[in-house]
Amino acid sequence: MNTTLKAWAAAFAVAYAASLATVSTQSAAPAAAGSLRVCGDPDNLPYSNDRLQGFENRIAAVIAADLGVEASYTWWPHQRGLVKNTLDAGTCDVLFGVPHDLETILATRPYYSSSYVIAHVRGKHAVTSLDAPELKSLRIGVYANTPVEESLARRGLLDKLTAYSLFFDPAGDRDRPTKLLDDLVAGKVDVAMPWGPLAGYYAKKLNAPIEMSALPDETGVPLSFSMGMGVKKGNRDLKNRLEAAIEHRQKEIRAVLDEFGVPLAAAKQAAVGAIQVPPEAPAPAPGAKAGAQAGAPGDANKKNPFTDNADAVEVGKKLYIQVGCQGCHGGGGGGGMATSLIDDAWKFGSDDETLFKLIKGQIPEQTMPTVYSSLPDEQVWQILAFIRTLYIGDPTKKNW
Amino acid sequence: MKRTFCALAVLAAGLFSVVSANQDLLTLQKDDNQWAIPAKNYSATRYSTLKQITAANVTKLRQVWSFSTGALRGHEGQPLVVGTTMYVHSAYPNHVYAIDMTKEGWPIKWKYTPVQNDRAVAVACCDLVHKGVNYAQGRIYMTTLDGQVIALDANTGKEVWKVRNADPTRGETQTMAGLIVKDKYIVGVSGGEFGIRGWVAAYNLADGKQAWKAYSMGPDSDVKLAPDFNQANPHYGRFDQGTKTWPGERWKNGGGSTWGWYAYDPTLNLLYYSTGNPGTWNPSVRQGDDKWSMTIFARDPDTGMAKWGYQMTPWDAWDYDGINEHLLLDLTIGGKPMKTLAHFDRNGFAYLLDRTNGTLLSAEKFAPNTNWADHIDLKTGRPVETPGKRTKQGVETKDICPAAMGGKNQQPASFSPSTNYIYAGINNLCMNYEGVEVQYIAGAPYVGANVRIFAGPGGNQGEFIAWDPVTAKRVWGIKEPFPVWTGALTTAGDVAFYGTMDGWFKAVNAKTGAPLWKSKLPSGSIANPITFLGPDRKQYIAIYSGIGGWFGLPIAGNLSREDPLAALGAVGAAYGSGLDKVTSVGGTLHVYALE
Repeated sequence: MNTTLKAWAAAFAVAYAASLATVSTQSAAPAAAGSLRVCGDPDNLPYSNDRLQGFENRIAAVIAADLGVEASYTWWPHQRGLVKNTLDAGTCDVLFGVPHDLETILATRPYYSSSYVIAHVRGKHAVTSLDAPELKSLRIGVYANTPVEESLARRGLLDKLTAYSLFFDPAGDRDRPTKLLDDLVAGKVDVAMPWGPLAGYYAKKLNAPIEMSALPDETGVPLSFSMGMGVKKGNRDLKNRLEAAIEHRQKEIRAVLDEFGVPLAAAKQAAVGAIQVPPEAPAPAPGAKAGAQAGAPGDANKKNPFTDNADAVEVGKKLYIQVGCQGCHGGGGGGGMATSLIDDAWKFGSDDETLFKLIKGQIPEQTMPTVYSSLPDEQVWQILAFIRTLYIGDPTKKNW
Repeated sequence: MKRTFCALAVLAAGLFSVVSANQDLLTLQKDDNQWAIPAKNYSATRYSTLKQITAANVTKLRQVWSFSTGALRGHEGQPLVVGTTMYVHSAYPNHVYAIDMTKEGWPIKWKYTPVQNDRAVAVACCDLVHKGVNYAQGRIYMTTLDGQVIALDANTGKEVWKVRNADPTRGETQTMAGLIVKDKYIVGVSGGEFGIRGWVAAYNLADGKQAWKAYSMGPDSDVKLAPDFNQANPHYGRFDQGTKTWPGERWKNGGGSTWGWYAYDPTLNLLYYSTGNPGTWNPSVRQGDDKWSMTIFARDPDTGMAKWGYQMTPWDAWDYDGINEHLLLDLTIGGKPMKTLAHFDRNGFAYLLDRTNGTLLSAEKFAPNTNWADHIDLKTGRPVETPGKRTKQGVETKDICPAAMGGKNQQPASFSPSTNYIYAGINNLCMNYEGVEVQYIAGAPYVGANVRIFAGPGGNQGEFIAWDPVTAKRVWGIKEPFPVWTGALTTAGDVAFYGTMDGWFKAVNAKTGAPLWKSKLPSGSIANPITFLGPDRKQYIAIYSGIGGWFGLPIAGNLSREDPLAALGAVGAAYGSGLDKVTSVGGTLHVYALE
């Protein structure tokens, strides 16, 4: 399972389960005494399957051993509805391989980081960078809705693209998620740009004759991601125990990742401790700062310094029209092409930081155009200050 | 010598396939048992000679089959019927189904859903609609919202090839059906609200390779003007207008999208379509004619070169997006047989042109209350504007008719050679419009106007009319509470069919306009009715229901009612008319037959 997909799936699950957000933190089902209850994907190699052949199955066993228990599994495909049907429903306690900054869950510090890669068949089309001029004459395979599509679009390469689906469809209407790399080996595409662990698995475990290079992050388009374990919001006790286990078992985790050929990237700077604190949490997460932190990327709990500031609202109102927000979100914020900004339905969350990130194009699964990454932070906050004045939803749901 | 021979052989093979592709479609569209191209025929008349169903027996029409498309956004367009197979499409995610009409219950032969970049969803102007697929020589050709052009095997639904025509990360999307002419599939682009520079492009049926691409504005080499362009009407403008009629380099974000309907005259070998509104709706920043936005083009489909172009609304200040359909009619005007083109524009005028060279024959108001211009000067071809109705930045100009949604929107009209009338669903909508300053950011909305839309005088928002193209006069009209956004269908049975946003599918007497029959649909309709003969030799009528489009977007997108400016003015218009009280979302194909 690919990072973006997971983030996407989980984020949507929580949008559906928004009402659960107010459930007391104490209601999380306690971990059964004798096991670490993993929410596992039954059919998604190289990550996980119900025969425990994936690297996340292996890492789960390592972590469980450190906790002195065994891993037991609840199987649920890691797609839409995941968080709602697993963690939130209390049928299991931990998800492996979730983006460390996913806000719909409580995530541990990362236990590995990887990136999208550019892969080619050994001896053919040895391209290692998105800026290689020869890409213009090659057939490029990517998964639909992954950030590399954006990077290629910026270079005017969209017409070279074949997009593959990441979703496994049991009805068989669509190709299996592995088809991209099968097609690369078969020569149907010249280069492929999948999430690194998938390509690594092909090269190392399946001995496919492919070579790959990591793709570096680009302005506004993150291509590397740090992965942690996710527990239900509020379950800080389990999170702390898992983080201790990650610390103890670094070597063994690394050995599993190496065995599966996972190409490792540097952990994101903001990784450790940069976890969104759920409102009901008793204490702030380590490293989280209080108050307004406009502009420092990676800061947790960013608050808009301009909320209710009349001057900023006035500037924000002008910017809202000038930079085009009005075109999709409506002259008065009521939506149109895009969602309404005046009611209490928010796709990814209503807090300042989430909306800031959306405008900046930093939420991998967002569908809003990621074209405002260079808008100065101050202007983003001014626009948000104006948007807040349009709200006519349930006043008890205001969290800004 | 040998080389020459090879070249000739290749040329001959090429010619052969051109002729056969053309012949296949020409034959199919003449067979009224089938409905093989989106507008029924290249002349886009949406008329069928079938006459089992007549004005006398249409009251016995009953729904005999229905089919959920699996999508719940606005359903524009129409299915195709080729042989004993019906090809059904849906709104985004653009499902396509092949339906086997030879078996009981009409089961699904195959289903295809393209893999798409879902970011296109956020940049599709006016609901996630689609106008239908095309058929030629055993293949289905289609566009996707996210900019792909795809060929499918019509027997299996398997992809034969797919290429990219538009880039949604730059605000370019596709909702048009396109048209197959000879060995090419001709498609356009949506995105006039994102500062795109519009174009039409032709893709080879054989392999999807782009054969030509012609922009709506820019240097003449980009717009592809033939050396004799507008020779017959030099006052329409000839060369260098695609850049010189714009301030600075504003043509680069000039809009002129091409999301409407295309027609073709095989004898003249000319493709007809028109271009949409210029980029940013705020006119104050682009003073000049803004050519060739708002223009009816006639192009050679083999090379893409334009023979003539006529701009209807110079320096648009109202979003009178000129993409509506063209009906190619051979009429007798002043005792003289003429090859004409009829076009009901968003700006409220019904144009009749000589389609051989673009000469304007008549232009009269078909939309009631049209007040932005007094008339069109037939000598210059230019509108004579009404003082005080031209919009500008920073001022709310009030009570302009028609509204930006047009005197008529994209829903295609029909022409019946039995009555010699054109039938069209139209709007009675007016607006207040204020241009606002907007910066161009690639991939970001570039709208630049706040629009309030409301019913025009009389209170009814729509009408279904019969129009005599020779006298340029309305024959009759049926007032409707909501804008009529279904296409029209006429038959030799002298019945005219149309549907309404509040979910009625209606048949009226084509001669008199007398209501004959109606049937309630589960959702409002903005689609186009078709007719065909089933394998059982019975005449059927089919139409999609599924509310949406620009006007229906507040319902299709579940928008709240508080902001009348939302959805580019549609929230005020739709909730103001009570559309939410009469219909809800849907996506169903309904088939009717005599009981």
